[in-house]
Amino acid sequence: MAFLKPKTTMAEEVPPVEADEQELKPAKKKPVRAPGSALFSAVLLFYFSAFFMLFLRDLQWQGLVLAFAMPLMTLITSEMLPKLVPCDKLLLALTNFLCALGVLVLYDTNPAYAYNQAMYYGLGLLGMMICLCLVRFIRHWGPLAWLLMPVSIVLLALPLIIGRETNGARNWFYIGGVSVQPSEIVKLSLLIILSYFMSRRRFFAWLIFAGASLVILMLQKDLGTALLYYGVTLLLYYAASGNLVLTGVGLAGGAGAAVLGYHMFAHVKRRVAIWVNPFADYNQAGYQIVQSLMAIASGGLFGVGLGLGSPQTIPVYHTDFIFAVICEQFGLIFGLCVLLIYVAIIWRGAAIAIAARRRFHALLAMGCTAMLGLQTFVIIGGVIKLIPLTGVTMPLVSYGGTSMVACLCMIGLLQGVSSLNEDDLQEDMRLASQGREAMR
Amino acid sequence: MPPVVYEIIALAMRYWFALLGVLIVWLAFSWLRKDQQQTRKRLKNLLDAGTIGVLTVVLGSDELKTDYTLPVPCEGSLGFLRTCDVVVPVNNVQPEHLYFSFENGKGLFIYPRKNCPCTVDGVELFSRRDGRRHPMVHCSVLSVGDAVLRLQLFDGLDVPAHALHRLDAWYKQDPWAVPEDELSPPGNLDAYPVQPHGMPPFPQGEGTYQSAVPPFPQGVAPPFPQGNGTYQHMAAPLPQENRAFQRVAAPYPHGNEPYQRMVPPYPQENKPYPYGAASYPQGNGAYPSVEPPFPQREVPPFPENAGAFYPPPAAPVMQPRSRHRRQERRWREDGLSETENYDG
Repeated sequence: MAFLKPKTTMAEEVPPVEADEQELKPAKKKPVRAPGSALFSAVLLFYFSAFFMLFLRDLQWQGLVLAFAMPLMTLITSEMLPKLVPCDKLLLALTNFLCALGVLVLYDTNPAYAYNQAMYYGLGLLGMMICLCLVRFIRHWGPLAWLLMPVSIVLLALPLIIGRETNGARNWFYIGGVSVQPSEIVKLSLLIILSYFMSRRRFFAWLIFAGASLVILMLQKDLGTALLYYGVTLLLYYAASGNLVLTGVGLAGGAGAAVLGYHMFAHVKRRVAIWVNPFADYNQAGYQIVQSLMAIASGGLFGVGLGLGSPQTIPVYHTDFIFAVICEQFGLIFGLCVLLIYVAIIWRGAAIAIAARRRFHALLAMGCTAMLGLQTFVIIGGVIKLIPLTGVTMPLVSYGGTSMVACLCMIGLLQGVSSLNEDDLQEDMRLASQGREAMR
Repeated sequence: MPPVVYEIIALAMRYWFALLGVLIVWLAFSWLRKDQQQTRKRLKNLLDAGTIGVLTVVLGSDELKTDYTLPVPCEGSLGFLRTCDVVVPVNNVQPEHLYFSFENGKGLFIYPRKNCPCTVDGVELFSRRDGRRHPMVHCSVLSVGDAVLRLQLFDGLDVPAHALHRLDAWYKQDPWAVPEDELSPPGNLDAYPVQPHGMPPFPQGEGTYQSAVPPFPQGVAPPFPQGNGTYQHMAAPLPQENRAFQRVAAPYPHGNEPYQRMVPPYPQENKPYPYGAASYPQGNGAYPSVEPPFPQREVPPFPENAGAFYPPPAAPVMQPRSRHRRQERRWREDGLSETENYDG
């Protein structure tokens, strides 16, 4: 993988541009300290102490292995991976923190899930590297975008044919005992297709694909994913065209469709009723949300303590309601910190999108950021009863192989655009220094 | 471990985890902030970051005057709308006339929109396919609407060497009359050997094209945003070795040539002229020799011919005495005698 090594290192390692000034002034010898070393140390300390505590509780060797393995994995991916593939270290560190947090919470509640999640985490890292390399090396996305369109539609429609209904939605199918949620995989192709066709200003191609995907998702009754797809499409359209009128029309159309769906579908009506007053039927329909709210409340500011409390009483605590478990165990302050880490990832993603030189790369980065941000908002908003609950996973934390791999692939796409930005900046610096030489 | 002991440890560790969580967030945001500051600092020093060169206006309008330069990003749109990446407020240019995209090693590809044709080096482009066939390279000329723009790329960019500029086609559109002898033989362009990148499109030694236009270095033409969103500014003065760029930027139809007609009609040596240029019979035209033609001694008119032949009665008569005094003073200053000057 040495060929993947960048010409220069990433932004945080490169000194600022004033090459001329540096040539003139004698360089002061200062101890160079990487800006992320303190962050990495804090993350390592957090995971070592947390897993070691769980080992003390159960006194099982798996806990001890995880106490060393998880920090080591975080360290390797944060320190070694940037040496192989050029990538954004901060984004990588925050992603690793969230992924490892998911493994930690799952190990606390159900160790079997944690082992699976750790495996998917490794698989996701591989997917992230592949996506990063794809963005760096693919110059013509046209053939891939055209190919992805029919493949994605078929994949998305598969659960309607061979799928099984779970929690009211028919969005899963099983291959050899492994469950696959195609809507998570299609997220990636949606981003690539939308970015490509919007960057080429081909209106109808992306509109047909997005419309077909939404219709299939509505047929599967997967409202949460449909909301994500719709929101990301609208955001990307606004980013690509800047057309506020048409974006407003799209938003109004979405609101109209929601109202229509409320009157047409009974399950939508029930969800809204639960959202308005979950305590009216707290033992049946509102049980999930009531348990979630009670868990968050019982955690208080600092939580009930890692390994204590009763997170298993919350239904689907390992997927949709994992944020409630985090708040119960670690407290509201820590929950807020997790939210801020998502904010930092979104901030970073938006900065990458703004700095991108190519329209396609800018839209791709913006799409990944919007998808991650919107998904986080939808699930956390649902858990804290800000919006009606829809069944989506909390990115990078919730249990689920497909979700974890898809989210890490999105991070990989972001990393790819970030490394291209860095290359472009290096190229600009080269041209500028050449110009300065010519002027001398 | 006994549950009670574990509970005590877990309750104590809650604060530790909360502290670490806050620390991680604080460190992440401080890293973000520092990184953003550093990026801003780097971009501040790179005035032309994100651009690949400039489009110099050869023929524009009142709003977009000749000689102005428009920075070209590596991808974007061109039209008269303010939201376009390159704003060309000229007649017959559509709101979004065309899109362009720079590809390393290939050049700048032009993708005209439907019913918005344009011309690249004399070749008319109607579709994306046409645009893929005829990429713009350094010194290529783009005609869009009534505007004529010339692309100048930054030095050091990876651009192909097969740039045979069809400037003749450009000449045909040129508003200025170009002398016929300055045109290369029509229809014979393909016979010319391919010039390396940066070289003029005409063979060396023929015609008046003697030097190439070097791609100018980055950093010398900062994009100043004007009020209406159009990036319009004159090219900054360039160093001595890049003077050819200044020549190119001049509003003359010669393109790559180093404007010989603009050479001022002064001698090469720094000898002062004894008289003003107006006193020469050639006026301001080209002087055949470096040495100024000194005036001959005036022959005083014979008394019998006075008023008949010389000087003509209608002509203004100068006062010989004062004129001679001036001459004498100048010759004295130059260390010359009157005889030497009169008789060579």
